Amino acid sequence: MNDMKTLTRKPAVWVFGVLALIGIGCWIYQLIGGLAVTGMSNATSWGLYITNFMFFVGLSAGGLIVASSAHVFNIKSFKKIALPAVICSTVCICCAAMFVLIDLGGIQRVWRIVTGANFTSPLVWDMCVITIYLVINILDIYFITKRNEKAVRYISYVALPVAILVHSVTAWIFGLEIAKEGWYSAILAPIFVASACDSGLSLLILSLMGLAKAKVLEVGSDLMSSLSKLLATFIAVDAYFIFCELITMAYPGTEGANEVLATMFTGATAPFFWFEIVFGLLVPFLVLFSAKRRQSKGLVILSSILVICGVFCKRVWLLFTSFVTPNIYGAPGISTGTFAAQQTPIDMWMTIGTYAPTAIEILVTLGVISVGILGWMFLSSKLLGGKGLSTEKQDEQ
Amino acid sequence: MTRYALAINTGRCMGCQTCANACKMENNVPMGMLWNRVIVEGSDSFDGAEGEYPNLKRNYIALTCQHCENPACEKVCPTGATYKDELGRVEIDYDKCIGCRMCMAACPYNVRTFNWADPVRDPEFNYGNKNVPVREKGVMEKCTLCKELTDKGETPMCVRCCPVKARTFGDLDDPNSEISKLKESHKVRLLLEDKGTRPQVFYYE
Amino acid sequence: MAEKTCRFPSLTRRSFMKGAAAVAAGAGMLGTGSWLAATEAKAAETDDEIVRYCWHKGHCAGYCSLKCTVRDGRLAVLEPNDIYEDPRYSTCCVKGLSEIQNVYSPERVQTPLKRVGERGEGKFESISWDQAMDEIYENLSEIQKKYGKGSIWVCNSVEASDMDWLGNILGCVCAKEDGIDLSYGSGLDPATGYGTGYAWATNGSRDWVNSKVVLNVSSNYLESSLVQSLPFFEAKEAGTKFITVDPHFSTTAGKSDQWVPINPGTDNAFFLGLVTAVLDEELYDEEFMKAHTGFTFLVDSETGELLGNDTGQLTENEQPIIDYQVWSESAQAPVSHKTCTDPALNGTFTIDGKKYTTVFDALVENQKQYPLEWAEEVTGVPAETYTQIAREYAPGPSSISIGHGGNDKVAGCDIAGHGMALLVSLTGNMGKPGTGFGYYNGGREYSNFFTGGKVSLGAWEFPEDMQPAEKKYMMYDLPKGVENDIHAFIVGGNTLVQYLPNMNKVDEWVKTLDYLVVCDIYFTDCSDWADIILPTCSPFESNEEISSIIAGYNTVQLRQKVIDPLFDSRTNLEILRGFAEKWGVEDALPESAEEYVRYRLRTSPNPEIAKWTVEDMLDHQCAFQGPEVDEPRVIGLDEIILTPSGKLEVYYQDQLSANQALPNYEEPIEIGVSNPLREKYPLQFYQRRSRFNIHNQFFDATWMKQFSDTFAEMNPEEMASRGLKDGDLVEVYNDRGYFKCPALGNNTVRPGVVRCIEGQRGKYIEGGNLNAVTNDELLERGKLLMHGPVITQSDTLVEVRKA
Repeated sequence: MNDMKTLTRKPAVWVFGVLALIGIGCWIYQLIGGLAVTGMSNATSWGLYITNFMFFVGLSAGGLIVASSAHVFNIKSFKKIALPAVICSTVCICCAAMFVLIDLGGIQRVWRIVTGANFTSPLVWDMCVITIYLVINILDIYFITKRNEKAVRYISYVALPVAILVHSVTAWIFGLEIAKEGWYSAILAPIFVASACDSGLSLLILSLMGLAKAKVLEVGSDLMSSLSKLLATFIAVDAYFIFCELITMAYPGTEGANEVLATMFTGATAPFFWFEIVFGLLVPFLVLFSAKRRQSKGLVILSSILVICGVFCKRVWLLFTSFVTPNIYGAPGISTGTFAAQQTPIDMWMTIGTYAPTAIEILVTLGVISVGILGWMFLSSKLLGGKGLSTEKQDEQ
Repeated sequence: MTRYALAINTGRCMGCQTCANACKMENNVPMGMLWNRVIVEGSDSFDGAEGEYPNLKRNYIALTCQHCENPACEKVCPTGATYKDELGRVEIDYDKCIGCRMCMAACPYNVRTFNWADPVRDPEFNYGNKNVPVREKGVMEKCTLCKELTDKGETPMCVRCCPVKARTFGDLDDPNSEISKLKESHKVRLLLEDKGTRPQVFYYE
Repeated sequence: MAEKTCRFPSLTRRSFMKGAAAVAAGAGMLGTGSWLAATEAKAAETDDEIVRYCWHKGHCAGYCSLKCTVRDGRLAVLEPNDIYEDPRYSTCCVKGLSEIQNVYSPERVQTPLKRVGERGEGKFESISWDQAMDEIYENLSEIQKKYGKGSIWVCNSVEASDMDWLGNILGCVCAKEDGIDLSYGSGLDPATGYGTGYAWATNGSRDWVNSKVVLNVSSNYLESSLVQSLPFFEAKEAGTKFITVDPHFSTTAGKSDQWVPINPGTDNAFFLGLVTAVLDEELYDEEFMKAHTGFTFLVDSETGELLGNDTGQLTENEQPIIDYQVWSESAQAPVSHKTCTDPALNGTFTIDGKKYTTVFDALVENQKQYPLEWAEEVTGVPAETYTQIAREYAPGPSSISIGHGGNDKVAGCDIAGHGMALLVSLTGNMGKPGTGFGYYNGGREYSNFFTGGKVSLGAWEFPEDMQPAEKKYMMYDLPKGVENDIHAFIVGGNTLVQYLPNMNKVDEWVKTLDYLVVCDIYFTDCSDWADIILPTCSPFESNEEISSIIAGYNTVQLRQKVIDPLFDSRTNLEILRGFAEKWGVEDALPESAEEYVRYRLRTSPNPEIAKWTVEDMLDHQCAFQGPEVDEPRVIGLDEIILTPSGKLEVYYQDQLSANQALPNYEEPIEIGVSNPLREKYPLQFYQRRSRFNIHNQFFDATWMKQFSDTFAEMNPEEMASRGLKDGDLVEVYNDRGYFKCPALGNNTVRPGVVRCIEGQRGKYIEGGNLNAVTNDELLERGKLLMHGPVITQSDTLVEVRKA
């Protein structure tokens, strides 16, 4: 209860609390008005929610991959951060799940997925994997706090592949769709895992920094340095996969691929693509490549933030690039089914997919993230803070 | 077996959109969406053409659910709401649809329409075939090949109304059907054949 | 990898409709109480479905027989009538289907309305039918007392033709629009004596299958004749070559084997070029020319007058019969064309000291002014294309199809018609299967509507003393200030706005009228001026089980009541009876629609049809086909050539004073390339036909607005040079006026043209109406034409700027 009291004294809690409430309000509004209150349409049928779904699954998986590697590969120094990592991971996977549920048009029928699951659907796989993953996270937290090292190790053996799987399955939601030129690729799952690793690790670094600053946790500079080094490696792998994907797509010079690449390089999603390439991959890599610069807390924080933003941008270009030009292009185009389309018949068409999130969508998103942050603060203060665990003690186990 | 399908004569299709409104009427399709529409392939403007004046080419494509033999939408549907029925049609069980829009992302043809909001009908009543289920907000819908008519052996409304008889409905598994003969005797175009969805709807000139 | 942009601007109409909300203001004054939500009106509470049959529209020449399913008292399903064994007769189009919504449109006039503001202000109050009829009677009878019966003019749209009885009831003038659709025909029909200036010497379009070539000029047949488009494709599939000449890449151009882009307004030069090509290549049929044409007639080289003797006799149509002289080769002397068996086609002869030449030689001489290079320069069609088309067209059998919505509305198009007359007379492509020339709208098969077909119905007879008054003026002269004694108008439909150019002048004139009654189902621009608006029903509505009957396409169709009249609307017959009661002549009208229908059947001139009863028709899903329905319409030479001489009189002596005895090129009045006004206003303003409308019908239909809306269409090149983007609100203007609507780029529009769909509702356009800018100048020599000058809306120059 003390933790709660401490928490409620923090202004940040109130800010996120209010944002969370606004988000819930907006979600209720969306339930009443339908998904038409978002910027989505029949032309761009997924939007900010699914972007965030991908993003948060990645953040989550990355955290757990690091945490469980600690135990699987017995990287001692990483063990300290296992709990904060799993907390991050748990919170993020909950956010991801929330985003998927919020994105459903008929959430009242969501039980159908249990009673009538169609096991050829990647969404069903994802649902299963996420559920297993969440259970593993919770068990992991439980055993870490119970200081049951043996159990933690066993769980880690499962957690590592499941974490990789959870993000692979998420990738397959997109990567198995032959309909979308920009998605359909064998390397999409590795790309997802790589970006999960770099963004998840960045988030972990940031949260460790935060916890250190809040004096909940002490993080040694060695640990930080090795985490940063690992991050640089992840970034390089991520960049490599992306390069593989791009060259494979570009080389044959097919019409569809050209459309996708044009949209990515110079079209609607170009700002996101180039941000990721330059600020999400290149800059952080160059920063973290040098052992000296890795010593700088500020630069590590900056790099981590850039990586996270870069990966978010990647989710954006990955998702939306493939919605821009329909496979069968021609005016008047796709009947969009939006509010505007209902009101003014001639406005029902889109020859190319356009999308901009509405205020409602952004507020719901902020609400979900706020719930996540509140959850993270709560769990961190509950499990790490107060009389919580010092890393030293954990080390002794 | 039965594989109901449509054949569309692109030589005849003149973009009049009669099929679009015939479908809208029969199936009680609300405002803001159409199950069936005619586009000018490659054109930026309605009734435009490809190219630059005067070097122009215009190809109308009447676009509707292709009722694929290997439907991408069916595979990805998490609840089995989208299914391939015994008459070879791809159908949707609206009661099972959770509105995840996996099928929409999976369909290469952009022929699915989603009820983003409460459907608005103009006029404000349920027009069309009385046996067509009324869809609510949050469910996916699309061409059913006029299930309620074709179940009874009748012809889909778009086929009946086409002023130039550019559309033919029939059973591809019946070698004596008109549609099978058309497929046999013409050079046939399948949309996005490389996607491997094996559309049952085919186009010919 | 070019970046593609969305051509449909997502601009909300509301933002710029505020200025044009006059009608809405009127509606507001009625109070919401009387303004029912359309679908609430008269909906019965049953779940039963009933099926009724109803023929739909006439003005598209469609006559689709629709099977209508009514559920809960509402029109729920429309589909083609399935009574016909051959499915080609079961027709219905995108417009018909949209009636599901259009019938229930909130844009309908719901009750009689009385003007309360200034005329044109659009402020009305709802009144009862009794009050409306009382006021109409009071005002109109007063006007008739003061200025005579003929001071009222009844003018109905084609769709509301049955309202023409008002002319009988009131004894007033009753006439439709003058000077419309008559341009091509007034240059063509004098040669044949066939038709009435509408260029109707065609076979049915089903006969195209027998043509080698169909030369389609200035006609977008596949949009204007939607439900008769099948014959086009059947012919094409059978090997007929379609050549479409159009400034724009129309739907029909796109479906044709060859598209010939042409400068707007230069069809006359195109036909002159074709005539030159036929002469140059000697593709003419001398035998045909000698036997059937006036090319052999002798013409005075000095005066240009034909050599002939007035017989003093008159034809049935009271035309003088002149015995034209031709040069007999054997006799080496001029003889009557009737008796001569060996007329000379060429030669110069001296007769009584005067020099004469044959019309053919005169033509050859005259055509020297129009070599192919000249034609190429004027029309933009390459010289070799003329030769190619001439070579393909001439041997035949070939047809020429023209339209009434294109070049027909540019001044001087009669010259193109005359050129066409020469072309068919030179090549003999007429009077047999696979030939024909003229306006094929509606398939021209056996559409009784326009031609009188093989089946027809009796017409209601009024007593001698109940005839309309004599028409003394051309309608288009009234806004131009011609002195007249017309004080009131009764209008069915949007006629005044639809047909009259230069709307600001029309507006001034209409405001001087003492009284204006408008009968219409929707609010149109014309209703804005009305003193009283009477709400009519849709074709689906009636208080009687049987509401009307029609004959067309060798088929007789009955129209059943589908739903009760919505709101406080009335059928045309009910309105007519209302007038008749006031004027005390109700006994002269049928008592009921059913009585009228039975009367028309019973009195059919076809004995076969006269035997049919309403009950027979009901048993046959309200549609009965005549015996020869499967026979395409083919007109023989003797049916086409109806001139007094019995020959194709290709030489128009009565137009000598205008130098048009043989066709001579004239530039259009306004859009001609040498007009200095082009510097200020470089764009032609052209109003096109669309498959989504019949003139001003269906513009309120939201199901139509899915595909079509008010846009100023231009080639992207013209958009770019003016810095315009799709969806930009633009002002289309010239010295006559302006209107504003969103711009839309379309690469099929010829550069140099701004194009709108004809007949648009003013309420969706800021600043009034498309006709605000159109040209009302009449061709000076027009009075020499069959029906006088024609209205030339498309002979209009404008400029476009961002509003």
